[in-house]
Order: sequence, then structure tokens, then C-alpha cells
Amino acid sequence: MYFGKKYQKRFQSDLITIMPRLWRFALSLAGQKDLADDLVQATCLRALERESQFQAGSNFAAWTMTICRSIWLNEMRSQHLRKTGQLDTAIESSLIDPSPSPETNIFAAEVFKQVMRLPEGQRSVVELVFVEQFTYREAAAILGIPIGTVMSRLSAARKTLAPLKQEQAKQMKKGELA
Amino acid sequence: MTYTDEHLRSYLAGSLDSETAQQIEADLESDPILEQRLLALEGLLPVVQQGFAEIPDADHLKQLEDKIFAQPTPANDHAAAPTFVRTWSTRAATLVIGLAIGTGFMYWADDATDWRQEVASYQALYVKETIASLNRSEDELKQELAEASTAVGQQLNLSDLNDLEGLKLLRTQVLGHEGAPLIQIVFADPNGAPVAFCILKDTDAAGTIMQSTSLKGMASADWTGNGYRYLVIGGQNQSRIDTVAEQIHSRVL
Repeated sequence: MYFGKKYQKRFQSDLITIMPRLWRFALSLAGQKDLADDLVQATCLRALERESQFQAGSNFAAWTMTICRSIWLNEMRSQHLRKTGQLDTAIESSLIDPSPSPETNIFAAEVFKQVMRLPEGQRSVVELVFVEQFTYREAAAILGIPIGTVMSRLSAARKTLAPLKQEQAKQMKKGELA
Repeated sequence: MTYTDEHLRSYLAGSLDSETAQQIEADLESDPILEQRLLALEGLLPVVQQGFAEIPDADHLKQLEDKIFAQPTPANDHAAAPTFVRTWSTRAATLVIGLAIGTGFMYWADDATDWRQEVASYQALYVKETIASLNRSEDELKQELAEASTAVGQQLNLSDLNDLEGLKLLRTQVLGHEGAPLIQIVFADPNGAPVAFCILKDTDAAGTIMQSTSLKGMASADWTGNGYRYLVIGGQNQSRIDTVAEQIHSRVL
């Protein structure tokens, strides 16, 4: 439960701007849409409460995502674990509707599904580096882990996701031929 | 050590010898250029980006954004910036009918668009003497709560309103706001000062999290959920009001 403090319009506007990125990161941690919503909500409110702690000129998205990771690990993850008994959360595969027929959508849905099937640790690193395009170093700072751990998680994820690269190459070839 | 692109591609493919791979990872700690070179060669990057291109759904995000930022705040409380306040401002607020304290409905309204402000204006008239003579029996309190439950469409139990930071339940009234039932449950705090818990039925209301605000000089906390607006208000002890609101929230909503 949260009680609002002083909301500054500018700060709120900055939060809205980065919300798509924040939501994707929250999803990579939580693995479920409703949990991601709760996590984003808690993160925004915590960020608003701590507005004075943000250093102007530093990376706002990274700062917010660090808060998000902290809330997930220290508050929500353990609650979820107690409730469900699952160490990793269930994967929601319906976020991308695969029904639109273009093959690109089907492929995008497959990519998304494969990423979401990764273990939580790999999923969050993949999201930060490949989707949000943080550097390895920035991803390590957000997740509070050594850069070596980022690299080893990425290495494991690359092996799992490698077939997607081949599939994309096939699709591109088809597209060129068509 | 200098690495060729071939080294780096092999590293990313997992086919580089472990000694060189470890050296690359060690060098990454202090070599941002090496980091940039590796990132530029990440072949999976555009593939994974394709998978997240439509994530999150724009409508879903907008709903979430409204939910988070529709909270009334000290800064925008009177400016009516929150979404639900803007929604309310579109409604007619003209009905002013008199009082029928105790048994009937009481409607009041003026040009104000925020129901909390209207409740606060009413609550501000309460003093210790207003409630000093209220002395309902348990059966009477249950009867009033039953009538209120029927009027507002939400079950209100006596047990949900006990043990609230020393508050003593005194009376429940069915009031009205713009034609919608509004329940006012009156308590006395440990000093005999009035505190109220109000429920307004509003099926269009979007769910909002709890918000503490000073209204008409009184501490208050409000939230919205399941088609109802809730407000706890009275006195100047914000901490007590927040705690009471949290307890009620956990029992009622």
C-alpha cells in the first residue's frame, strides 16, 4: 500500500516516457503481465518518493530500473514464491497475439516466447542488453551483479536462442526471394 | 591484449578457447572500447528486438499509466489534475437537498467536483459535541450497517470496523452524492474527536492506490476499487488516519 508524497510534473513525465522500457524490464524479472504491472506501479511510486535522490545528468532509466530490481528481489519475489512455491514465475505466452498472419508477427511471437522461457537471470540480462541496449557494464550495475556474471548469463542465453538467428536468416532469405 | 573481430565472434558463439574467453571477460571490466566492439557484433540483438517490438501493448500501458498517475496529490489536489477528478468534473453537480440525519437519505452538493472536498466540508462541521451523545447499542449499529450495505451494495460488517487504532464506532448513515449512495460511518477517536469512513458507489471509477491528503485542514486517506470510492477523514493525525485506512482497506476491499 502506498501513500503519495509530492509528485513533480516533470519527474512524472520522465517516468511516463521510460515506462515502456520499465515495463519490459519488469516483465523480464517477474515473467507475468500482472506481476509486471504491480512491479511497475510500485517502482514508479518508489521513484516519486525518492525523487530527491536522483542525480541530475545520470541515467534516469537505469536509476529507475535499479529501483525496480530492488523491489522485485527484496519484496515481491519472495511474496510470489511464498504464494506459488515456484522459484521462477510462469511464463505468459499470450502477450503477443500470434493470430495476425504475417510471418514476421509469428516470428516475433516465437522470439518473445523463447526469451520469456529463459531462466529469470538470463531473461533480465537479455532484456537489458539486447532490447534496451544497455552496455554489459550498465546491465551489471542495474542488476547488482559482476560483469562476468552478465557475460556468463548472456553466453548461456545465446546458446538457447541461437536457432532464432538461423530462423531469421531463413525468413530474410524468403523475403528476398519473394 | 588485442582481439580480432574473429576472436570476438568466436567468443560470442561460445567457440573460443576458455583461456582467451576468460581474458576477454577480465578485460571488459576496464575496456569500454572492447565492450562496444562486442556489442556491435551481437548477432542476436536485432532478433530479440524484433520479438519485443510490440511489447508492451500501447493500450495496456496507457491503462497502467492512468492507474498510477491518476492519484490526487497535494500538488494537484485543487487543480483537479487526476484522471478521476477530471472525470468527475464532467458530471453535473447541482443537487442540493436537505438533511435527514439518521434514517433517510441526505443529499448535498455544490459546484465542487471532488466528492472528497464535499465530504471534507461536511466533516469539518463535526466537533466533539456533535458525536458526544451518540450511543448506539451493538444491535443498532448492526442494523445501521445492514441498511447501509443494502443501499451501497457492499457488505459492511461490524467486525471490520472494530480495533481500528482505538476508534469507537458510533453511527452509520446513508447519504447521497449526485444520486449515488454515499455511506458515512462515524467514529470517535480516543480523545472523543470525530473521524469518518465514507464509501461512495461509482461503478465507473478506475482503481487507484491509497493516497494521503490534507482536506480542509483534516488528515485523510482515500482509494478506489471494485466500483467504490473510499475515504477516511478526521483530525490532524495523518499517521493514525493512514493506519486506519490501511486496516479498513485490508478488511473491506
